[in-house]
Amino acid sequence: MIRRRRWLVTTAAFAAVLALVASGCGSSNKSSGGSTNGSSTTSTSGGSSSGKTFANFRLAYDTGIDFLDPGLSYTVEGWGIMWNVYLPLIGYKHANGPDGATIVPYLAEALPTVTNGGKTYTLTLRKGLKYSDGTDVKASDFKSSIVRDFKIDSPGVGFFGNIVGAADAAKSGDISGITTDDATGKITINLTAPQGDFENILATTFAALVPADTPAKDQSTTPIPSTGPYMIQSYKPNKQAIIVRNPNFDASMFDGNVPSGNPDKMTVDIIGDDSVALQRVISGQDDYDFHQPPPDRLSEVQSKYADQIKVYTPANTYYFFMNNRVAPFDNLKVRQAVNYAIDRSALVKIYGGLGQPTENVLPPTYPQYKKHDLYPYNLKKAKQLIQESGDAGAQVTVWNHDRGTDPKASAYLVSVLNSIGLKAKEKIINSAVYWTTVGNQATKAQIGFADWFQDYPHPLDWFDVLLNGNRITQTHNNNYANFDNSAVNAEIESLKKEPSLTDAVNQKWAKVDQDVMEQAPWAPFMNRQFVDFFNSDIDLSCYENHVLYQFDFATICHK
Amino acid sequence: MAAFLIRRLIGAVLVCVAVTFIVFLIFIVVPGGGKQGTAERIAGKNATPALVKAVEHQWGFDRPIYTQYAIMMKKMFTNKLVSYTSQQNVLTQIVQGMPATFSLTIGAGLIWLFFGIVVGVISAVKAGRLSDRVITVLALIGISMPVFWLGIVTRYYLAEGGISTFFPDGEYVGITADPLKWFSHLILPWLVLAVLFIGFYGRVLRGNILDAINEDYVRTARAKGLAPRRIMIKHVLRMSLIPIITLFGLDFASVLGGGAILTETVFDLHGVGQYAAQSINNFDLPPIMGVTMYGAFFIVAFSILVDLFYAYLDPRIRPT
Amino acid sequence: MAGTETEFTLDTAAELASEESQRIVGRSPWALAWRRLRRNKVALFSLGVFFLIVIACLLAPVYAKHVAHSGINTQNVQGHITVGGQQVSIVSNGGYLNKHTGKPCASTDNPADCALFASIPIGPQWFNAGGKYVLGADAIGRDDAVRLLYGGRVSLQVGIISSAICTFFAVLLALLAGYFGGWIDFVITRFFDLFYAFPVILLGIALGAALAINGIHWGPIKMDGSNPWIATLIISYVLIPYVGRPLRGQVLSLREKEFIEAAIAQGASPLRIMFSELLPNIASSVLVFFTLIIANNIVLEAALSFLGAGVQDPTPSWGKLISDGQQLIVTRPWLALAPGIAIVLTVLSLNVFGDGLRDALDPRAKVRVEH
Repeated sequence: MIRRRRWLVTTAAFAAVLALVASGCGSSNKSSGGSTNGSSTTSTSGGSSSGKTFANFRLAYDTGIDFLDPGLSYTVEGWGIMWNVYLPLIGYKHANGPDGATIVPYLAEALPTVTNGGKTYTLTLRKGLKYSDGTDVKASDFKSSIVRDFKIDSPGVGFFGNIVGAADAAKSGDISGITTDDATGKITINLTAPQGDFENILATTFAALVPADTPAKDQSTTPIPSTGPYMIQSYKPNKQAIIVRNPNFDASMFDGNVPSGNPDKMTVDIIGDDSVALQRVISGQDDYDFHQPPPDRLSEVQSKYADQIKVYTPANTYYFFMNNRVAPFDNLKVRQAVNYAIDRSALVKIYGGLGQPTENVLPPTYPQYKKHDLYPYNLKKAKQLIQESGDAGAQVTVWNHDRGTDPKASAYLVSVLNSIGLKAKEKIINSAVYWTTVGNQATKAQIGFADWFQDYPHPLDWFDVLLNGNRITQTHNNNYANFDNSAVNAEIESLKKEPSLTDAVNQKWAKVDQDVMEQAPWAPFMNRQFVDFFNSDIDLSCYENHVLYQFDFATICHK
Repeated sequence: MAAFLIRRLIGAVLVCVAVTFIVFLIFIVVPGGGKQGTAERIAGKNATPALVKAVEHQWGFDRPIYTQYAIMMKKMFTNKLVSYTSQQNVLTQIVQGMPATFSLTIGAGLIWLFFGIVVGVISAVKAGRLSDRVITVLALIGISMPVFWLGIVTRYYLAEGGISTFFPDGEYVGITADPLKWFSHLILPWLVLAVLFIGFYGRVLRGNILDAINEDYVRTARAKGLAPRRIMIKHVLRMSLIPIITLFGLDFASVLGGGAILTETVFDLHGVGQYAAQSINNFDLPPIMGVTMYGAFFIVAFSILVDLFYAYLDPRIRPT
Repeated sequence: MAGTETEFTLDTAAELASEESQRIVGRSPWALAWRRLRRNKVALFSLGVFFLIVIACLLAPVYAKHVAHSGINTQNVQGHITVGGQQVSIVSNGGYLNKHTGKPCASTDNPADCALFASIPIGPQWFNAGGKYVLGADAIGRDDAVRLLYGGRVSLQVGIISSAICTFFAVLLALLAGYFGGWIDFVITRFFDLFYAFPVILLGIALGAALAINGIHWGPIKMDGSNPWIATLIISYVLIPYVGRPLRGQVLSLREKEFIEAAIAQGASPLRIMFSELLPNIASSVLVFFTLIIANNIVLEAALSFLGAGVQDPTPSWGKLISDGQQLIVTRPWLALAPGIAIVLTVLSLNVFGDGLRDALDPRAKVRVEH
């Protein structure tokens, strides 16, 4: 079960707080792919950028941290902190833009060797690694960390379901598919079937190594010893987290893949209210505003502090799903009509203009992205298609949750559907239950709002999770459209087995995108953009926005 | 006095027991939905089926209703009430929110009591004159304003630069961390919270004073030739204030026990009320249970104090 | 010292009454009350204001059709209006734009010319746009004045219906408790007392939160979590004790009166006594309570909606409009100001009228406003 985490621009005093807590049946991640608008920082970080260290980086964070336990956290708030604290065997390159999607060895000496037809992954742990408390890192810690995930019912266990013996790992406390040798540092993982995105899964924080004796329950407030350049010194939920350097970390052991970071300390101030957070950064109480500045105050911020803003587009797609199993959306013409009827630039405007219109499933930051323009805005054609479909006047309920700007998108859609000859009304429910409600077949949700932020940069995290008909479930369904096209399913299944994303494979994925949209199960409308705002002490020439973890706190520097 | 106290205490305990029933009814019984539905509600959003099952078992939703009640109370009183959404102990979170809530309520309470009395006395003394009319109209406007709207508007105009940025924008700063900031961050919330009560107290006090003036003992005093000012302060005001003090005790307790929820939310003060408000939007029920029940307990306890004080003030009603 | 010099009649009904009673003998109490009320110009004016607001809200569809030319849910994101001969976008363009052309910045543009703009809806046009967008637009270009009027319908409806339900049950309980006394009275008064231990808002949100997920499922009664009736029921429920307790006191004292004793002696049934003897005698207080509770409930509804435990999207109510408007308070303060002012005006008019009514009918009735 892939979870999603949403990242909403909210301005209501406490709606902000709430929206940012992981919601729905999953957590996607506000993740970035390359900053737009030419802020092309090229600093590739490797090793310690000497001379750039400074005492304290203060973040005006939001309240979205779910856990600071690598086994449990499934929010960008948690991951943003922890990817510099808890290292997996392999991980993402610290780099700005698309380059960050490259997977490099972290705790392992090299990338895994894949044998046995894509079913066996072999890695070797680097020698001499120590946790922040001084104990040695052992190969067997990898196994115990994964087993711990199962024991604590980690939201990440779904990712490891393909490992041999995963099914009863929680009960038995063992996972037979993983064998380790502490003496040589060798780690072998056996899968039940080839899995193209398994390297990405090994790179998640769920697979980060923690000591074998770590208790099998949430350790957020009693931080687990770390392997990365930083360690969590203290965490008071809803108040503050203090991140300091890990005394036992030596960047030279990591071939430059893990930079030691510039701030000696990071103070994460948890602020509930977005205008308070903005004010704290403007007044210099904090250095970085993790919140989205209220759109309302953007122009003020822009006019006064233009040089301290970065705009970026994380890998995300906002869309309306149309349930293929329920009338009238079982009719292709109706689905196409909706695609023609929505004015995507109007929807972008509803989001304050911070977004780019899209008709693709994949976001433009993906190498597999190939823009198609199947449904240019054409209200007349939409009306005509509805007439032809014979479903004119059909009752339609548009579903949405109640947080942030999103309800406005469905309000817009209702208005549009009514104008093309359907009879639409809105159904808004609390965001806490929205995803499980529309993900339940019993609800028979006809059409509704959805968005997706990647869990890891791989097309499988999109097509397989959201649009593979073989993965439709009765409850907790992520394929809200119930899109089940045998040709597309077959394509996804065959591409799933490809161990690496070559150009040829990428071409095929691009075709899947096109094939899907010809069937119009969705009406995608936007790739949303986000804003990072810093106070004037921060030197933005060091700014790096990672493709998955977004702004990299560790590589920032002072003026 | 001791007998009164004991009787009062027994009464309070009974009310507290009843409060527990009400909380149980509100959260477990009234919404219905069977054992599964109830467990899903308590487990909160994003709950895995395994968690729902665990909650169902832990809270005994598969067992008779009195067992469910007993289990819930056990959790409440042994500090085992945990939010499944945030994994945090509810009481710990409430305790964390207390400094902000107390600071807000005590400050606002002093302001509204003081200005309420001033307003009430002035408008009673000047009854019918222009100043009385102006005060009456202002008081009524104060009573008619939604407190959260007043908060939003004043915050924008006075703290976020609509007119000025004279006041700091929201947030609570601990009194030990920086007393000056503590004060400056709270002025606006204090005033906003106090406005409603100033209007209300002013009007109640005005009515009480005007009534008291016609009482026999005041006429007697007047007939004896006492100075009007002396009559006003010694006789009229004293008697008129007694109901105000009771009212104050109850209102104060109610605001402290969670009534300040709107003000805290608007100004992002991280108090107990805001904790409850955030929990609603997360559909996280255990904290709301906790705040509701502990808040009610607090109000009951506080009302005993008020009664004692009341008895001390007015010998006539001191029970035997 | 007593205010004999007054004509300003908010709290001076007692004097007026004594003055009148010398002149008028033998009229019904209601006629007397009406006479007193008529002299209270401020109260009558307030009643007028309240009716104006009600009528304006009832006329919302007419306004939408003939003045604003925009329905309650009609989006107009890409639309334009003509103001003073100039085309103005209803929602401005936003994003990373070229300052000079207003078009999205391409990689070929000089970064110095580019800046971040937020899409902001049009502000109040007052009467410059021929009745369109008098109060401006919301984020999807809907006419805020139209939504304000429609929102008023919801707020007033919730306020009035919940007050009616609240008053009904409060009267019923007060009659039962006051008439029968004994253990029935004991149970009912304890029930009232108990609810004083909960702050009203907290009780409201507790119920709202508990009911919002699954709605209500009691046998045949099924209500969805977003059903506006849930908010109405919650609001009516939490204030029952605040009305019931003072009424019970009145019934209790009436119970001791001779005419009730006489009725009982004649063998009248309890129902008959309650409804034809007791009820008419507390009717004036009930009316006062009803008026003041409407005011109170309108504010309570707004507060619950603001906290997310009241009226749910897409239904607009004044409280919801305030919390929506809060998102744009810096650039478009009227979105939050207008519904707030509407609440203040409505509630103020009801409070002033309710006070006047109380002075005229029953100076003892006091209702505790709380929100």
